Amino acid sequence: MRRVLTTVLLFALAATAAAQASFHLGGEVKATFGVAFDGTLPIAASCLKLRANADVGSGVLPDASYEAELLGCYDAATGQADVHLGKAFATVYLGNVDLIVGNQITFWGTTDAVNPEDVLNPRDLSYPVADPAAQRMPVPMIRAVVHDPTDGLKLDLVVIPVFTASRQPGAAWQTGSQPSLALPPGVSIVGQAATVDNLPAAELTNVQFGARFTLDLNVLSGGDVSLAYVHGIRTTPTPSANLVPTATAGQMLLQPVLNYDRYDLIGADFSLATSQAVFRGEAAYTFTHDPNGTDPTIGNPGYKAVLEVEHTFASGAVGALEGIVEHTNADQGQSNAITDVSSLATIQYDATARLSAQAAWLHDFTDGSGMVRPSLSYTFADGVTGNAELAVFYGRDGSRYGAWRNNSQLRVGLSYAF
Amino acid sequence: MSSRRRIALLTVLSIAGTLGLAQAQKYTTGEEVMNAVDAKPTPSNLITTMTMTITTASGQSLTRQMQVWSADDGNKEVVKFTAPADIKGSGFLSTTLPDGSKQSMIYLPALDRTRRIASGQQQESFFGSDFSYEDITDLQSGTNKKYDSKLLKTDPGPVYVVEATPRPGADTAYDKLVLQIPEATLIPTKIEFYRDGSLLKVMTIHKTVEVGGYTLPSDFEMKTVASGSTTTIQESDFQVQDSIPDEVFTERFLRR
Repeated sequence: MRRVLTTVLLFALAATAAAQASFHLGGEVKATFGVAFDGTLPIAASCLKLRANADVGSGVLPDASYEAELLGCYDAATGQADVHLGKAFATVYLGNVDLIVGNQITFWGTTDAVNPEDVLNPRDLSYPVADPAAQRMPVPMIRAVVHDPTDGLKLDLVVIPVFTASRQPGAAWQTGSQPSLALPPGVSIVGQAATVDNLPAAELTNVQFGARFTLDLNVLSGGDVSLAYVHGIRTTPTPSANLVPTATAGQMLLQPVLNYDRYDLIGADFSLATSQAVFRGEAAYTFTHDPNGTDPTIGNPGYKAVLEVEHTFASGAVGALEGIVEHTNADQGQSNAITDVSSLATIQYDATARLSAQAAWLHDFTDGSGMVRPSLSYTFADGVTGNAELAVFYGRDGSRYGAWRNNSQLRVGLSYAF
Repeated sequence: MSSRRRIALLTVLSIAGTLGLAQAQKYTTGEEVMNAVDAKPTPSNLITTMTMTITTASGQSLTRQMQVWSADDGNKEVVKFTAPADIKGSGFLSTTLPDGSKQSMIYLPALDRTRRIASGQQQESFFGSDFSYEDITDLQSGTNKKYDSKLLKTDPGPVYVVEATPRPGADTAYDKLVLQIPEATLIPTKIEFYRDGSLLKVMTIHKTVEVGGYTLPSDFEMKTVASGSTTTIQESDFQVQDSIPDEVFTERFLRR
């Protein structure tokens, strides 16, 4: 059904294209190959993205515009083929209001790579350490952005009518932690029952919404501050388990249960540019429906905060350093609160117009694990770019990133944008 | 002096220079020359198309096309890339405030976000070219506000050779410029950029065009001395405007 709708949409776009003042058809062809340190080939994918966009009307801002993407991928390493709709939305410019309706991505936040406020779109976590921008999955939204004429104030309102879950990491990325159950005396687990996935249904009570207010600050070399609120549903599930009796007394099946927590998020962020550096900060507190940590099927409340400073060195290299704190409250009567402190250091150097080198080092101070990721990109010709990226995980067994040591891998790719 | 009379005078001076006629130099100090350059009529509000070609020392080249909106004598500027496809939609917004401070942000569609740039980051390469962000904005707004000038010599023509050094607190990555300015056009034909006492880059202006009564430079070449790479910018489709709406110089316009 989805393919039929996609085809109809593309034909509709093509039919109306001739009537538009400006219509563009473009896209990207991309091939990616990967080899992991354990000798496996995690990816051998070829992808095609077709993109159509057009403006209706003329002027500084058109009366309306639309954009639609169709994506197709085949990964020979997994044998999976996938064709799906990407972004597909229309924007109507109503004076100082942009009304945007359709499959879209809305990014909230200011910091790089780690964004506590960036919760509106689900993620494709099949490669959990991919560029966060590439992980965001467009979902149906109704969005209104209210600007004041000088852009000094902005109010961003979003409604997400239907819940979409994130795409979960593959087996190689599962860290092995299973929900634990206290078994009554004389009871043993003899197998596993089918997982119950309590995906929120398409109904009014599961509608998500949020608002973000941004104030432009005319200080130093420019700055802004924002406040955000989201009433949403976590796109990654909280796992728990049930015991299912079998025909034999005392023998049970373990049944994993996936619940998606309702939450209310309050966040704030800022960016401030000075003559020598740009400071960015972002923090959010998430209230779940288990404020006291009494219900094991619901995640506990917690907060996440990031502070970043970015500086350009005399050589032209751009470096950034982030401090990240994540905290999850303890269960009632327990001392199992989790506080995680980590840092992210990145540097980018454009050696020439064609060659760019980047490196990122993520280190978790709490368990001593982390990831080092150097990468190179080279522009062979206009629109043709090759890249190579090495992701190396370190840390002891069971640590946050050490559990992924065998997934350390090299990925190379070539893309042509047209 | 009206623009028309000034252009007529510049034309006569240019012809005289071409014929090699001896003439007395009109300006005796660097400040006079730079004030004359600054006083030369230029459109306050301008929309142009730029074609930027980046060529390595070995001769390989990349081409970018962009649309540029400039208002208030270059104090507000928006640059949006239109080609090639992999950077299409990227943009740059720069605003100079009345106190001379500068606020800049870039928009990267691949990340779907705008990012502020530190004013010190103006020295950073402009999307991989030999031009920096500062160079691009100064193409429109000029350099006179930031520098003190000293006349080094006057070559035949006459062509003034002026050394410009930053004023205290000036927002620039260079510690010296050396400009060659023909009296006939008062448009620099060559600018040398120095940093830490060394020649860093050389910009040459190869061509000017007449647009709406203004003489405007249209072909620029910037060469980085150390790497040997060169970036040329050809401006075309000049549209002199009475005004450009304020909403062009906003994050909203940059992102769309």
